[in-house]
Amino acid sequence: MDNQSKILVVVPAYNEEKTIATIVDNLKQQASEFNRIFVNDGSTDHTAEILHTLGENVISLPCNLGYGRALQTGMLYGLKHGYDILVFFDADGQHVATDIPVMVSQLQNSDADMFIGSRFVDDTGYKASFERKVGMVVFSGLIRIITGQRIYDSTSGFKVMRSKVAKLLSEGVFSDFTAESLINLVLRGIKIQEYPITVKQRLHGESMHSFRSIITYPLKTLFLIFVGIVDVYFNKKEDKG
Amino acid sequence: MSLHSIIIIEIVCIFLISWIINLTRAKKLYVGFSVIWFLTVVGLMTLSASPFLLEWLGKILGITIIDSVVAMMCYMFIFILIVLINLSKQVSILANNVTQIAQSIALEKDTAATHDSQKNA
Repeated sequence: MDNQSKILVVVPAYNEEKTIATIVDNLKQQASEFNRIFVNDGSTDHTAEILHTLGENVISLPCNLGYGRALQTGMLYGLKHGYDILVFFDADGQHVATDIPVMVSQLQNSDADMFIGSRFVDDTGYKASFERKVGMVVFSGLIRIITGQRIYDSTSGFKVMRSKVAKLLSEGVFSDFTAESLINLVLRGIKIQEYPITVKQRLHGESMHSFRSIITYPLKTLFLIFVGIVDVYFNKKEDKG
Repeated sequence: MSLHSIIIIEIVCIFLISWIINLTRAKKLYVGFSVIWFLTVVGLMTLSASPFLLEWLGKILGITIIDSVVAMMCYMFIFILIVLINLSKQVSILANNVTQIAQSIALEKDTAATHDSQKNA
């Protein structure tokens, strides 16, 4: 394992006052060797105050920009401070902090540029809703058709990546860094692998995917996949020119 | 609608689609707007290219369709569409600026807090 790498765990949080203290506690106990930054995405509850009381590093966005932009802010922070590896970790209590050192070690000992914490590469006991299952099958199939690579869990929020991947993600046109970003990265030559993780049920609150997003999310993602393919094609043409 | 009008409308729609994609690539059009305008243009292309569909729609809406009027309406719709896409572009650019300012403020605050804690130490 390369101990010289600077590693940052990015945790976006929006109105997670009921879970955030448990998340901090888990990270302190099970992934204490890594620096962490919490991106408070304009929470209207006491998320920021709790984090400050616990002595955590917090970036507080002045208004709610959404999950994707909160992650982007975390990436910008990581790139600004020269981190080599970034870890995306959700604040809803579904991810297990003990998976972080394992995933980081996997990344460091392989030639991959990014590892996705997958709920489906092995049977981890995770039960997804019907619409989510359909979405995952469709987008996993699309990724396979377009890139030739099989990615089982395109919507996982648990990712470990090298800084060059974070740079590409922070500069590109992506929504929530799911299927559209994975296709774009693979087409740009980024090596992506999956690693089975444990996923628990949400501790509190509701998923960010509302009923409306059942229609808007696939439309947006499909459009962004199309735009991404066009973008990669023109970028390659420009590079050759 | 005459073949001449259909060809003109289809060509303009292809230009509109490439404009929408290019604006999205350049981060000058919010993805939500892009999807709406993209689907609208594709719908217009489909309707203008299939007279049967247009006739069927006319029957449902209770409109007696005169070819020249339909063509005129399509041209007017395209004009309005261009104005709306341009307006969405301005809104998206401003929204993008707000996002960047919000992120910069948050990151600057973090830097200031780090400096303060270093001074106190």
